[in-house]
Amino acid sequence: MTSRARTVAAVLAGRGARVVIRALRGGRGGGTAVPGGITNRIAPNLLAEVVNAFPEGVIAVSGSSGKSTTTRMLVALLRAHGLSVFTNDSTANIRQGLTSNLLQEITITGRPRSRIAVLEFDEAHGARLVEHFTPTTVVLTNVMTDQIDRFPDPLGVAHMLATIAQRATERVVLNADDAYVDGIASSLLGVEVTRFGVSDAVLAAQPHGLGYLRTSPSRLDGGTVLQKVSASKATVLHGTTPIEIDLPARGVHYAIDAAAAIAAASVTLGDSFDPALTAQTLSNLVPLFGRGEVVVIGGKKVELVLVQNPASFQLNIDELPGELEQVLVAVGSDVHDPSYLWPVDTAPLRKVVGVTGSLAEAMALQLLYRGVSVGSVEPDLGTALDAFVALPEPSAGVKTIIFSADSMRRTLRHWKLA
Amino acid sequence: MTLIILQLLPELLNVNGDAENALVLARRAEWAGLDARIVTETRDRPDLVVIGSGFDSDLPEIAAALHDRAEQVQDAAEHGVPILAIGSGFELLTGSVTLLDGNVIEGLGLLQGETRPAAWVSGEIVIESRYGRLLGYENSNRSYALPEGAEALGTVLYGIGNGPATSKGAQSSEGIVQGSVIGSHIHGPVLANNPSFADALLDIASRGAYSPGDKRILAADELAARVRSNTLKSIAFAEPSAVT
Repeated sequence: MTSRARTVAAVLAGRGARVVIRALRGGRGGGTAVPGGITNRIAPNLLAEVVNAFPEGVIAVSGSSGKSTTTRMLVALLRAHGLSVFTNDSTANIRQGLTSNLLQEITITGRPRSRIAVLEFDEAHGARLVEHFTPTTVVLTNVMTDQIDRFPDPLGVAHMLATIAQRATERVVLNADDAYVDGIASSLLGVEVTRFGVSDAVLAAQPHGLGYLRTSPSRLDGGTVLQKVSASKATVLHGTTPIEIDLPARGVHYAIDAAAAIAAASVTLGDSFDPALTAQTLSNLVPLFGRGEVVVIGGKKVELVLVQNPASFQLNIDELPGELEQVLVAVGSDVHDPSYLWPVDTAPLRKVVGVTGSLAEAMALQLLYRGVSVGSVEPDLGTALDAFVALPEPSAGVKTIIFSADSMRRTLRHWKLA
Repeated sequence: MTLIILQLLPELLNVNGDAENALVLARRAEWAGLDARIVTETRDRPDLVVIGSGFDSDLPEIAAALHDRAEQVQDAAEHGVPILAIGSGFELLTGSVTLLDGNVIEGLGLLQGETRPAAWVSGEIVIESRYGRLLGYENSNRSYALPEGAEALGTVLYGIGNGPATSKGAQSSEGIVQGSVIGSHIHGPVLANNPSFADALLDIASRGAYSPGDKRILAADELAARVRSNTLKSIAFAEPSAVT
């Protein structure tokens, strides 16, 4: 078989598998990795060939947290500036999953339809996958304590991120406030390094810092700096141009993601980067599910807060408005060992009406020792969600659910939102 | 009386929440009607000392910081102050810690024995100890050779502990108890999940003034019992047959 014929066969086989799987699942199930696996078996080089064929190159985004939001913001900015952009589902960051995603993007002969790709990678998968392609730009967010059983040491995570950054051919965009990420710059040769960060005032206003394992000793001078943030309003100073944004959700971590996206969009777009269009685009984004999104369930407003690791748990608690009357905390099986949640200062929650998820008891124990009053402890998420929504409207604040990723997925299914 | 609980270097030694064992001790003491204060520095001799675990890449820095505090820790140990050291905090109280690359970090030598590289283990651990059955998580890539004649914290029923048993048919050991100093690999809030262990330390530290009857303590212990039974279920733990 010629290489072109092999590519066509691989694409057709993968697409065929996708159609069959979707039919079997009653029209759902675009997210399966099986079609990509089939394609990769027939044409092992297809992934690299396709990813390297985007005319304006590939931007890879990685780090412990903030990568989904940064990716999404960056994609929105590039599209607003008129570029056609391919991006992967955040869960499709291993080889098969990414190939499955690409199958929907490429022509039958394996050519991408979009001008540029923005790909989000988990640190470990990213470090392995970048061997297969050449990103033009790499954007790195931060190093936080995350899944200690997978990433036992931050230096290991920093090495993985450095491996990804070293593959960049043109540009690397780094978080100057994260000492591990910032330190990667010294291992880079022949690429343009751009930095983003926060001002002294923004850092000083955070009671528990920014959540990085190591915060750089000094703040960024120049570059793209988050100058101030108050609830969802943020000002990012880009060079000398202030960009005022009304973020999709409140929180300094979203504002930092916005600074990262602005820095990356600016170096990608060069002279055509438009600050006013950037402010407008970021302000018009709707929140990602679970990132400060408010849904209406059974006629009642419920705010959803995803916590992905102890640092994001802390940042989210610090951002919650005081006097919340109805909070439900859900921690599921994605947290293998709940030990690492213990450093989180949950005391500001003061009271939660319920704790649920497969780790309900362990989470409730943490809350009790932090002095939080705990209502029901119900491991069955569906039962707890129904009881929570059935409570009368709170007299103060909105009903708020704080959940881990696994509990978020189960909540989505329970409410048939996905 | 006010119990002074010294939490050593929490900014470096709280990776798995092990430094929060100090929080567990303080809360239980308060619930039992005693005053308790968590401090990270004190000129006075503390009533309890908690040392948590840190990242391997920080070990040289942690060791240096611990050596700076060695005198105080030594003094506490000599005066029978309960000292609970977890993970790398425990390892750095031994004679030395050998890293994977062969480098050796000098420990405080407060505990006998040494720590060497071993296969990485990460998972649940269950041991039988003088404080009752203790369970929790271990996450370690080193083993500790318990010296002959030394008393282990417990015998391993599930998991690895100090490392594989050295002689055939023997049970592997976990941790060490040497005077008032206790070293263990059971990371995280071991005292929250194992309230009998917490109460034993509080009893010594308060010279018998602590009594765990308050309803808040009972509520926490009821939750801990559920956590424990969930953990045992998740690993399909089988009771060991009676030893003859």
